[in-house]
Amino acid sequence: MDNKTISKIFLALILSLSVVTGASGQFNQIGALPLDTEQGVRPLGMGGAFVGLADDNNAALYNPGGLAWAKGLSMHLRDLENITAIQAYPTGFGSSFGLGVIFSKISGIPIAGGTANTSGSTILVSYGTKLNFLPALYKEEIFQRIGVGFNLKALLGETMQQTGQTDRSATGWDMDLGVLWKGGDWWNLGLTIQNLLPAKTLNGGEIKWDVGGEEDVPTAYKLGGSAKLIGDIGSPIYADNRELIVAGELDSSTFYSTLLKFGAEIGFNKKYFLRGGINQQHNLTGTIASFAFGGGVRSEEWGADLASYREPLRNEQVIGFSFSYFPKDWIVIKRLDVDRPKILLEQAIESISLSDNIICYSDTLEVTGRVKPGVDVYVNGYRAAVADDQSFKVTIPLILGKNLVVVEARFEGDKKIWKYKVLRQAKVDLPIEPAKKKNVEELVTLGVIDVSKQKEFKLEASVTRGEIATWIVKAADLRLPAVTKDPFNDVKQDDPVAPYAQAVVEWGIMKAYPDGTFRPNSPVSREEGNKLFKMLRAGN
Amino acid sequence: MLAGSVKAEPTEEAGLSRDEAIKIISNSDVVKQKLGDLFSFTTGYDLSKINRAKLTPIISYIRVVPKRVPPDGRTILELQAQVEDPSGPKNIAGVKADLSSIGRLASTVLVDNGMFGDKSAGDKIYSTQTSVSPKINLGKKEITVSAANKRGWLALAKTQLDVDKTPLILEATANPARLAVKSKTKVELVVRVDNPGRNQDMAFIYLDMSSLGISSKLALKYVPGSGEVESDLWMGEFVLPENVGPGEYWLPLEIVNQSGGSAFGKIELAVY
Repeated sequence: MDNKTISKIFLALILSLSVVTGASGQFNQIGALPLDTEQGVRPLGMGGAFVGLADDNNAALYNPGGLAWAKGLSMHLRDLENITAIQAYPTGFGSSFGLGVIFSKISGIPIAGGTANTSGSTILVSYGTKLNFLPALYKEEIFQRIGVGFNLKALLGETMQQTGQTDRSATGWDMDLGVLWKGGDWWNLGLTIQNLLPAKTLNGGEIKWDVGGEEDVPTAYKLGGSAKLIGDIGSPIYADNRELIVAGELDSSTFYSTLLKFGAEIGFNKKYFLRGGINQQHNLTGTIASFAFGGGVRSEEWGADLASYREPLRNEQVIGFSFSYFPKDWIVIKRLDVDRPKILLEQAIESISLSDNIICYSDTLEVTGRVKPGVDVYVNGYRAAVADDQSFKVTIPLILGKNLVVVEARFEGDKKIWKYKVLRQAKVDLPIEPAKKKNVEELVTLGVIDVSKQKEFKLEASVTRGEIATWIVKAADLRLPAVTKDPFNDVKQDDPVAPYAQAVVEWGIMKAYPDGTFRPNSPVSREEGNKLFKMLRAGN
Repeated sequence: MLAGSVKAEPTEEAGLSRDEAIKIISNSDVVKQKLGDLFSFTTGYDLSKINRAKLTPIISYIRVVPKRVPPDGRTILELQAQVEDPSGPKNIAGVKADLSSIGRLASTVLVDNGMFGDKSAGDKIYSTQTSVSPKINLGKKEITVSAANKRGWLALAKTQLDVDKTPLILEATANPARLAVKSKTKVELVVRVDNPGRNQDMAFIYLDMSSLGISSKLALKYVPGSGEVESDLWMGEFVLPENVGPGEYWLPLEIVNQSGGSAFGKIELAVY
């Protein structure tokens, strides 16, 4: 099955959801959605457009299909009465368990003839997995990029108070299904069907009131997409330590008309994040448009997020805050002492000889390391041969100056990238004192001078007009002219010095002689040299 | 570059020396700025700084002969891969094939030494000979060939092999296909077969002559080809009995190969 086929399936699914029916009930009377789990400060800061992103433990709240790649636990607080805790435990077998609890209380909801208050708690148990339980399909890369998951959600007791009516409470349970397709390195598509159980299925799919009566739980269909437009290698626009994720979502339900959501997240150094979103929400008055914004900070194991978003029932802007914890290892695995055949991609490379920010003088760099079984290693986009003992050793050529070495670990459709910055400095083998040698090596590294083609490069020799012209043009990054004829009587068109000599004359840095010669081999007088370098120093 | 093309000679007049020029250039603001950027690890490391020089070997093609093989453990299967390297053939460290899909070693070595089934040493074509294990189920099987060079880079390529037992009848004709009654014409039978493995590995090819009043089955014989191309031709002949009347006759053809695979067909004969 190719990408087009998958896209068609998604399209067909969303089209099939276009017919919706009305619903009525006591939650409907105040505009509330029972068993609504869309919490989480990060998603809310992005306008709630998270079904197609679902890349952290909030996936359990929006799209359990994304849980397969999620880990961590978070605590979200709007105030002491509106708290959500959500966690995702990787099993080590390409899947994660999710567990969440949502406490909510909203008071003073304006309704016809008065106000209403609602408070309650919802728990959800989730499971998201890759398709590795279908080995025949999972061999194909496209299926390695799909995650599926489900939520079981229970309303433990939602109390509702309305002006002029007796207080009542409700219980019930339902189920969500989610799919996340990581279509490319930089884009995802997600689909979630929330509250999909028909009423009375296994005593679920509806809300039961203690004062008597049942109420349907509206089914919601959500199709979303996300794209990391700016980011690391693999994104359409590469930026070192910057990223931009955009997400969009289409929500359709039996309870409200189709809603649109858009959000974006800008990241800096994978530590600091700014978010924003615009979305449509539903309340008693109909569909309202609202804005959300927020920010976050991440360390390797911790995170904190803040978001301002609109609470639709009271139609007021509120602020939420969350703490997150992303443990490196997982208690559930350790306690079960499972011999994991699968690996956490972060640990796919057990050792590597490279370190970041290194300076070397060689024109090649040997990279050695060891990977976990089954992991493929790519360096600068090329695959390294991994020996039977899981070791690898590759030699990469280095260009003079800055080199970015990209090491990729790939395992069953997932990949993780490490980048190493390597500066290759020129090594000059001249019998000169270290301080002078350093200057020469730096200028050779910059490409200003080249001593490689000379048998002897004598520093004490006079610099010639041709040399100085070349060095100045290269040092100052002057644009080289097209040499269409012999520029000077003594400099032929094909002479390597021709464009440099022509450039310095055109730029007015040096002059040709009245007889139309440039005399590239003539020495530069001290006076002439000082004049030239004054110009260079002044940046003229 | 200029420094290499210019013969710099010290002059009697004390001109500016290279040493002084280098010192002045190094101390200029523009070069200082460049050096600052050069030694900064926070800027300038973008995609253009990834060295994309071709490093991996190239597997130009993979060939399996024959493409259809019976799972009999004895039919020889030749696997060949042409491998080249950006640094020359001597940089190839090894070529291997994963033959686990046909019940053989997952790390089978291919050689280019003119031995062990390799036709010619040093022709960049790496070869091995194997067979399909009798334990393997019928169907398409994937074979992956990997080539590694001495700098540690790997190239992978795949090919497919059809593990099958069933012979295919490509052609089954009588020559002449129309003949007169009592003509005593000698009829030549031509059958072309595509057999998994070698075409000659047939148990038998029989033509049922009973519709012509001949009780025994006619066994067709294999006609070896000349040259390297394997013949797929089986032939037989008979003389039309005098008692055969006019009509259209369909002579049943039965093919059974040494792996137990079979195929059935008919040869048409018109008598007028």
